[in-house]
Amino acid sequence: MTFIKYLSVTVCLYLMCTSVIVKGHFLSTFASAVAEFISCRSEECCGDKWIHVNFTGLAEQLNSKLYGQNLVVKSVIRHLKGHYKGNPCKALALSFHGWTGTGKNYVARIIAENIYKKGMSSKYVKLISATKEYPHEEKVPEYKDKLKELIESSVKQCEKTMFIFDEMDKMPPGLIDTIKPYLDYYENLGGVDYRKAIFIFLSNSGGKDIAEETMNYWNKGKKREDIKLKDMEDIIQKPALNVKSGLWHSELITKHMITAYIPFLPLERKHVKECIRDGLITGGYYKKRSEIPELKVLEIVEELTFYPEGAGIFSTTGCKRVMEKIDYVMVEV
Amino acid sequence: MDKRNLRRRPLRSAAASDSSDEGKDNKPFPRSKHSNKTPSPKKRGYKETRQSPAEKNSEDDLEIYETNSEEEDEVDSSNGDSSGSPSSHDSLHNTPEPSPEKFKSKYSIKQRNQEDNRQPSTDSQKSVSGSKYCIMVIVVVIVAVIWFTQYSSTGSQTFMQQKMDNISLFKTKVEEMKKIFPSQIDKFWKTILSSMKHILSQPDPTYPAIILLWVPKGFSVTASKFVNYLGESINSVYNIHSSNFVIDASDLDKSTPSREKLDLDKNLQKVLSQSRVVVVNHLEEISPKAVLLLHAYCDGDNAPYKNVSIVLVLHSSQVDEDLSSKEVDRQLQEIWSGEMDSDEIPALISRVANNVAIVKNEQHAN
Repeated sequence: MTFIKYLSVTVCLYLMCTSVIVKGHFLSTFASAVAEFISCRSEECCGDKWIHVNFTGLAEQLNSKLYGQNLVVKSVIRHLKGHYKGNPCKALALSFHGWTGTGKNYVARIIAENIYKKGMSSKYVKLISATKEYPHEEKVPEYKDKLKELIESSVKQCEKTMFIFDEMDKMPPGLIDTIKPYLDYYENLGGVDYRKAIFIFLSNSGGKDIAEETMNYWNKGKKREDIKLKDMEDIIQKPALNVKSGLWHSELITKHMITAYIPFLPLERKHVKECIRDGLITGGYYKKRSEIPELKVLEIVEELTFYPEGAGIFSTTGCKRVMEKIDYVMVEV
Repeated sequence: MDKRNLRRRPLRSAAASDSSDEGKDNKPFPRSKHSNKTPSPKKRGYKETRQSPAEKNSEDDLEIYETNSEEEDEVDSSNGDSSGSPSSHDSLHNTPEPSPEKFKSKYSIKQRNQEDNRQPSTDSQKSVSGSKYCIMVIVVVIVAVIWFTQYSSTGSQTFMQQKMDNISLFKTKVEEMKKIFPSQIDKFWKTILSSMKHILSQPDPTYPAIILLWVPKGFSVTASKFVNYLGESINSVYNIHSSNFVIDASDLDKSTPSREKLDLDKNLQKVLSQSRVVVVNHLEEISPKAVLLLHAYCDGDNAPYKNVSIVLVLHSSQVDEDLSSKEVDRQLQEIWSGEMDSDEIPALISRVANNVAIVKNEQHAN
């Protein structure tokens, strides 16, 4: 009798305990979910609230603020749409090629701003400048570990991370191998799926050939707008493009790891003038575009170099550092 | 006057012993707070307003406290210096014998205090202490708000002032330099000033100021003298008095191009950790491979140091003093071609040769 009593008491206690534990477990998960929900309202999280592609904004911004790069706008939007349609079979890898000052960094920035609520300052956008982060060839083994760790920990934290590799053509040889596996079609790599990530590579590789081809079009009296993406892609992918800078993407090309090559054409005088107008406003010299006298714009344009000799159609430095020329003309001594 | 003193002294010592016995109770004036300072009418007025809750409590109390505070102030002021120290308390205890009157008042205070302790809550007392705290909280909040608004407004004001000061300060420095280097033309000074403008006027510049000082053949002495003045002027705007800001390319480890690059990097980091300006002298002597390091340091988007000025000095082998910027670009291309990739050269030139200042010879410098 006492035994049965004892047993029933134990069973009762056990049931009570388990129910408390279950409840406790439920409560704790519920509490953590609530805490996450609350903290995600103010703090950046990997969810849709903070990462969401705004295609309308992207198209608008690219069309209104990027000058003379029609091929870029169409191509970038098409590939991003493809990547975000369903479950991508590999990470999106876009390779931007072109002369200095043609807008490669600028487009990368606009993309980041239209995907991540916090834009370039988002913790899920990683900007890696090869000349800044990896300047010395002797340190490649050390850089390899650092780069591997950066990619893996970032994607582990959020699989929708975006990596921007600037100055890709100046990356020490050997370091590119580190990136390769993450661009491949693997479902997972060490338990992490890299297929939702975005990699953008910026380089001057092929810039000279793109510029020459654009020049050819102009010489033949063809319109810039008629240049086909296919023609430029062929130029960039040409294996004998250039022994040194061709090297970095030759391996990526043969393995089809780059989703798309995007050519940035050299800017013409009229495009640079638009950049100057934008710069005069951001520099605080004028409030509206309509207030800017054409003579001022011409004075600033004169400070820049254009080619070919005589005709002076294309800018050698594009919109890069237009701001410095603006300050030079506008500053009073 | 004598009479007043006689009456007050005992009261004071009573209060003194009281506060030392039961320091926490009913202590409207923290001794340390005002005993350090000489009394002023304004201060007393302030004390009176703070006393108001006690006033409601009891008139006797008020009298005791008031005379007490006056007495203290008087004693303190006569004592002069730091009479807020414990030793001054002791000396107060040792002063003249208490009179019967004093005993009475001492008792009354003590008793009241004890009563307060034992029966903490009659309604009136509660509301009195409540309102006292209320007033204290309000005062604290008001003070905090005033302090905060003043602080924040002065914060932004000082930044605006600073910004104006930095530009005008540098302009005066430029004026001084113009007197020392009178042969330099207006375009030269305009280039120097305009390339520095964004660094001086923006709180967080997005790119560093890059100046390429082009030195025609034979003008090297003028150039070396000038960069020292320029560097010191820039640093003085930021109150930095470091004169170790020149890196001479001929001093770099030239055993291999990559060693040279590493050495240049090390030197740049060292200088920029303690100076807002770095001068790289003899740019033409740095091997093309090592010079690519400047690609990063002079970048418009991702430069590691964004609020600094980088002055690159190129000693040309040509005597031409009137180069166009196109000609400068061409000559740079000549220096770097061969070892550098054809795609890389224009990108580097667009970073280092945006603000080219061509040096004219100064007779006195030689």
